[in-house]
Amino acid sequence: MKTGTWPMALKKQTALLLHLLFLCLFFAGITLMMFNEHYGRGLGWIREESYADTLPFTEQLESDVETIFHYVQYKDLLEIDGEIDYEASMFCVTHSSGNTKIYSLGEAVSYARRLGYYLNDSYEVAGGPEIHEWDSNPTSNPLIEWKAYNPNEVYREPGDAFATIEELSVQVLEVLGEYYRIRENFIDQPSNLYFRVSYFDDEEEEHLYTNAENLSAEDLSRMGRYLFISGNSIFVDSNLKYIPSNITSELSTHNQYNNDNYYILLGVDINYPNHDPYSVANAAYTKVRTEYIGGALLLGIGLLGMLITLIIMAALTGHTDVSSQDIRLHHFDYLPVELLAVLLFLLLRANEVFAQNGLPRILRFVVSPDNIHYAVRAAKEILRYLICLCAALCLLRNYKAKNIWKSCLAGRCLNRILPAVYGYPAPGRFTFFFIAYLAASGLLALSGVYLYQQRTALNVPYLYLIPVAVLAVLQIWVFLLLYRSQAESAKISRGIFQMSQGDTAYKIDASGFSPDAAKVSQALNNLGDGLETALQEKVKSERLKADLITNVSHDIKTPLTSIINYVDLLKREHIQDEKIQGYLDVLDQKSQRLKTLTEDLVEASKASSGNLKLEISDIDLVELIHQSNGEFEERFALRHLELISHLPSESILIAADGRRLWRVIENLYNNAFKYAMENSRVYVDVEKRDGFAYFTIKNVSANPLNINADELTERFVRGDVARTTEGSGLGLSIAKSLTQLQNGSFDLYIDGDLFKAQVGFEVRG
Amino acid sequence: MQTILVCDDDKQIVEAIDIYLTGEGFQVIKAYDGYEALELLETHPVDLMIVDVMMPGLDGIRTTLKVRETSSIPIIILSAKSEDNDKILGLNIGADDYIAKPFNPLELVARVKSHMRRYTQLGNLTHQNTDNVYKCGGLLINDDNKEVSVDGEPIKLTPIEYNILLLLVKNAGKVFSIDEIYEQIWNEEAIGADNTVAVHIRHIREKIEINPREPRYLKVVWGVGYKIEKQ
Repeated sequence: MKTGTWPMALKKQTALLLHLLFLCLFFAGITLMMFNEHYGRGLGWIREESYADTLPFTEQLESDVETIFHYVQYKDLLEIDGEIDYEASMFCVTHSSGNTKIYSLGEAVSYARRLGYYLNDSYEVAGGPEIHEWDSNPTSNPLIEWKAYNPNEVYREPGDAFATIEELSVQVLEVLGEYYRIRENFIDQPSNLYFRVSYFDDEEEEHLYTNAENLSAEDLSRMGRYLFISGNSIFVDSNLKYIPSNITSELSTHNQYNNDNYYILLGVDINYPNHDPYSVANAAYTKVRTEYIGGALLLGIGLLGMLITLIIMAALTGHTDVSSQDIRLHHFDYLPVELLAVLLFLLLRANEVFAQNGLPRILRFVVSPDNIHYAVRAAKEILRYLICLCAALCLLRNYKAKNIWKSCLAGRCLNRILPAVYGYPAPGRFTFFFIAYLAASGLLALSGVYLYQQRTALNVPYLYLIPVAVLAVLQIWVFLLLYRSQAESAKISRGIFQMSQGDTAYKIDASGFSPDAAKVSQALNNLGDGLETALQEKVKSERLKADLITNVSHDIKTPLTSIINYVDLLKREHIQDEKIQGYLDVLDQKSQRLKTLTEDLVEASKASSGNLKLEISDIDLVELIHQSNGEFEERFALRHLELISHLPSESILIAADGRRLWRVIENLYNNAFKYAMENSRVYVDVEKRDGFAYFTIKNVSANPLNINADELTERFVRGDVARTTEGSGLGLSIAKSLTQLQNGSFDLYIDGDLFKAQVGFEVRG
Repeated sequence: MQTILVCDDDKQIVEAIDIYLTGEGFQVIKAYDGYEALELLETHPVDLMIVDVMMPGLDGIRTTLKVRETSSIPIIILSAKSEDNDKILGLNIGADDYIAKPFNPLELVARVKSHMRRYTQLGNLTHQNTDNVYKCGGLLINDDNKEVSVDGEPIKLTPIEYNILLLLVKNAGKVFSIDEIYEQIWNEEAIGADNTVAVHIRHIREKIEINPREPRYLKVVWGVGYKIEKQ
């Protein structure tokens, strides 16, 4: 059989039918087991227990033991040499007349017979007169002296000791009937119970009571279940599960001899070859047990089959054919999930109502009143199961079609609301979500409080824990969202700070970020990349420029060396011509300037590109200015410049590169030396102000300073526009670049012809 | 007559140096690249060598290294590279002096003379070393007769200049601040000392140094003080 060729509809129907079949099997199994006597005992006993180990068997055995000892008693009473002894005395009474008479068995039996009593087929007393003796003459009953068949009878009340002859004769007849019955059941007919009771009298003569004279003790003990009790031992030799409780007392009670030389041996043939109560009970037990096992098997098979067919149905449902992945939905599948839930709830309620009202009446047609409750219950559960099955399959189809969220009302609402919400700018969105959060928290809290107050009225006292738990989960979720958002913004701010402080290569690790934050981080990282690239480009081009200038200056220096040397050689020729002397002076001057220019050019480019290695250490600015003054004092004197310095007496420590700072100061002094008006004063001050040390140099310019202070530090700008004086025009630019490289401030001020330069450094310590 | 080997790929520079040195009474032999210089060194007795750095073939640095394998004559490197790094490199590989182009011809001659004197004469000065003679490279102070000489050339100093120099030479390598020098020399407490010490130092430098802007002996530690370089 090729299942692949089956049409889909047939497959589904087959699966459904099989499922229902297995459902029936399942319920059949449950029914079998529930109506079994063993219901409620579990399953463990099935494996080990046989009828011989059951309590009913023991009860039967106990009653048989009692019967056996009756036989022991009656045999002694009624038998002589195996025959009934009708002369045996049964009881003695004293009549009201005062006569005492002993009645024999024969007399008692014939008395009873005369009154109409007889023994029926099962040896029970039947018949009897319509008017009893004790009815006609209740006061003249004779007094019982003794009863041979019941010697130990105790009379508790005075009336008990009186009885009619009829009563006593019937008792005797009953005893006789019982004796016959025992004989028939155990001795005349074959029984599955074999017994052997033996007493020894004082002359060591054995009194044996048995239905198995030919069987030895070994034979009996081989019969499956056996019991051996002897008078001289307190141990019981048996393989019975339960020992009959009456046996030892009965055994010693019926010992007529004053010794403990007796025993009882019981044997039950558990193959039950003979028809007797044991074989009947065993057959019934076996039947019940088989039914229980069958029920359990049916239950198992039904359950397994249901599971398998359920899986098959779950796999098949919704599919129109094997190959296609399309899901076909029924009309009612398109209902929103919420509606389906309500429908399911209503159906279940209806089922309950139907089970209470309509169902019992219908079932009474086929089910007896004893089992009506069970039948109603089973029918109700089956209906309920089928309703739930339909609902589950419907939900599954929707799930397969990915239709649940689309079709459910909450989903439809949210699908309308959320895009609108996300369309808002972030603050509006935040407000919406916050209000939603507040509403949800409030509702949950209120419902929790309400359910807590109503917990005694409701059937489910701990229902209030559900909203409380949901509220807790909501709080934790919101906390985690906020926490993540905080962590993200912390990371992003750190990234921004790092980048703003120049670490443009810094990257924000956006792993685990929410989409919005990830976008922001990505944008920042891109920004950083752009900055980094631009910065590197700039550094590279500055370096290239510096390298270019350095190389060009090297190339200029070599020919310049020759020019300077040969100009010098020419001058040494002591040419007398004044004109040529003048030309030579110009050559000498200009070649020297060219030399300065090339050297300064290299230094300026290095200083402005930061392509310098600084050796920062603690130096004393005051000491440095003293030293500088020492260097320049006499040079200033050449141009009649008076150096006036105001320096503090204590030292001022700053962090700077001493040699580079000296270059700065030297350039400023040189500047003053070159451009200050002759016969004027140059003021040099060092002062400490607000944690900064300031060096100031002031002089009056020889030429008018019709120029902006900022322009003075541009390269190649000089105070004298005519550029007649020596100097490269780079001094102030170099000074400014070097100062800034050492984290100092460099400011120029021009006030008319007054030129002022100020260099500031942070004071150490 | 002392022989000086001049090696530069620029013929005019070699020519000019030849003129200056010949004028000072030296014999000059000329080479135009490193290999030529090495060959000439093998065939001629040479007392001093001036070598350019950037030359085709064997450059000045390698030439210096080669020469130093066999000879200890004074070597002056002449280069258009005037950066600190270049100077340090040149001096570290065994050159005795480093002059940047474009150079002052007079300074070159002075340095050549100084190195010659040291190389040829100073050797016999060392064994008359007594307790009161202080020596630092080519700088020699005889405290007995208060005489100072640089590379054998006697120098005239004023008493204060002499005392300052003596203080620094005695403690060669140690940096003295202006205040310390003032207190040691004048035996007075320096209260807001003026520029006197700095001016004296400058004078000393001008007397004992060939190029006071690039002193060999008396160095300025800017912002800290002054010291005599330990040699």
